[in-house]
Amino acid sequence: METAKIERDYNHELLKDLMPKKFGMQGRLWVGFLVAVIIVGAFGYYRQLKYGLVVTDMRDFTSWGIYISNFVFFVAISLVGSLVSAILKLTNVEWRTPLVRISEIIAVAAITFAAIIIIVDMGRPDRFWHLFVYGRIQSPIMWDVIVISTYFIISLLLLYIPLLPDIAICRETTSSKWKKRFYTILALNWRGTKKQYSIVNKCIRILSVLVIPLALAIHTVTSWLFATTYRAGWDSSNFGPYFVSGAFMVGCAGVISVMYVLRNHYNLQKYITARHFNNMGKLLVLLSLIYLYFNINEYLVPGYKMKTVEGEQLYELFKGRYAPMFWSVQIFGMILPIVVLLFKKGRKPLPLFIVSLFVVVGAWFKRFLIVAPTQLHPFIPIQRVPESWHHYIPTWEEWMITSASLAGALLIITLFVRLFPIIPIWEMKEEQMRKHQLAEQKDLYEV
Amino acid sequence: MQNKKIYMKYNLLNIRFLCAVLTSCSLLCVQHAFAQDSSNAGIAKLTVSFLGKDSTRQVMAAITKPDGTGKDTAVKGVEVHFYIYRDFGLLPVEGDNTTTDENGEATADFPSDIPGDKSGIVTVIARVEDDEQLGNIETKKNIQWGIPVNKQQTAQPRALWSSANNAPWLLVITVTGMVGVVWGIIVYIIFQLVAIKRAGRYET
Repeated sequence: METAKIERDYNHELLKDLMPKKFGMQGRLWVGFLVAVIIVGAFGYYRQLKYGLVVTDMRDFTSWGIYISNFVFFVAISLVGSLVSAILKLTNVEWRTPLVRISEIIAVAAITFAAIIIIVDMGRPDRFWHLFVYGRIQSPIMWDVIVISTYFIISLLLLYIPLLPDIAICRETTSSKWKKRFYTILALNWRGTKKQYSIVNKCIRILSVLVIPLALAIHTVTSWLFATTYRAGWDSSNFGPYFVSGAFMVGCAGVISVMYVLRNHYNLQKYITARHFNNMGKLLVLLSLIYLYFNINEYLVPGYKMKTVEGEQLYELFKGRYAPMFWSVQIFGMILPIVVLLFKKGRKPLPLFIVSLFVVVGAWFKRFLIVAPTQLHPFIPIQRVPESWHHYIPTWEEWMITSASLAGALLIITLFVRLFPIIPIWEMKEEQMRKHQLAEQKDLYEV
Repeated sequence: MQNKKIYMKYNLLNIRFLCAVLTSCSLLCVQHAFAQDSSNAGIAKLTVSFLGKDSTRQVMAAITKPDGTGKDTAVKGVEVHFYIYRDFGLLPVEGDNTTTDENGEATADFPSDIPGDKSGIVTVIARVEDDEQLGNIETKKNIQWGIPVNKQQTAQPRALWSSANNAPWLLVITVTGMVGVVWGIIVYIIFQLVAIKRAGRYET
């Protein structure tokens, strides 16, 4: 019922600080930049539709290129929604409140573009519906289609339902006519009644439990797309947990990066404090250590044996043409973050932000290293084929379409921040009240 | 106020008009992107016939094109691709004379061990693909040259490698069950959203 009070108290500190704000010059330039990248990407995609996948460098051997590595990256980063809003909620981590919505919008934006990039990878996107009509339930690709669409809906609900009280606040406070109409439709007659709060809390609890197995399923199934194929570098029973741990790590780094930018741009230092960075830093170092463990398993064991084609593929990664990328990813995307974040100074906002960017960029290239090199090392040697089939160097169309998908995901987050409070106002108020009550009880007990 | 209303009305009309133009442009672009060269389709004629019996069987394709007077004349030097229609694709049929001669004819050797339907009927396809002069042309014809096979007898077992209709029951039940439970919960949550809307309406 407290939210109803906030709705009427327009001078409330929380409203002043947390309500969505208009874009300044920086914001407009940022949106303009993202839109420009999307337009160039759309032109690249137009060329791909017109001339076919021949405009890419994907050929018979490397039939999965940066589109698929980008897809795996998006699926990975989307797992953060379940980490912050479900796992931390069910384990009663109280400091998570200001980070919940950031993680949920990252999850929704990422999973949206994961689905889009799969269609982009198709030579005939107009036949996308064939997947649903002619799909084989035995195929892991079908499982992925089912899990991704389900996870998208659950993430959307997990973003939307806790947003209802804040949409109602926006509805009450906005002076713009079209926005009032927009918020009124979305607010679903929200008046902050006891019954409405009870339904919202029940839905959040159900979704929080449901999203955890689903998040594990989505990335495990994505890993099975590779692991169920008998190829050097993919033939591993370790792939499920290996992918899931990497996903939690990049998701955590993604939230840290976004929360740093929002905190500085909108002056949210009072709500996203150094303590949040410190705790997220600890979480990131833990997840990085787990991922390091899986990496050692994934490379050391086959590296010890170096058997046939798998050995050749590993040689390419360790010492061959992919070695600079491989070692950069391992050192800057995993070892360096662990070393830096083990120290308290490394978990301060700025160093943590820089380290998180390293992790996110490293994670993208890591997916490329999982997807591409394996395909250039088939069990039957590559012989008597055109020279271009021997290597894979993405074309400008591929780079621009991939960049456009990343820009699209960032644009969704940017527009969301423009329209809705990125820190849940009603949950912050509840948290403040809870702290206040605890302090009062403590005083009483001492007296 | 009246002027403002009229202005708003025209503004809305403009927006609708703009949307309609943009949608039409997008559809045209997509259509253009998928459009194939069919400028010569319908001018040249491709016919398929079958030669020989028992051990020496051949498929023959003949290409003719109307000349200036409208009379059909043979087209020489065009490569014809022959295929036999199979369950999961087209089986290419090889031959030494797959390029049309001065009579406009090309031939390929028909294999003797091709399974057909229960009567031994197979579908043969002759194609001209991406020819500079003729573009794409295709003709299909049935012939009873295959080995009769009763497909009922060769039905696939319910296994991971079988077709969609023959998926293992355990997998079908497990996946359908899990998807059903999760989507059931989603539907329940959506009903709860309706309940939230109703609760707001009644209690104000």
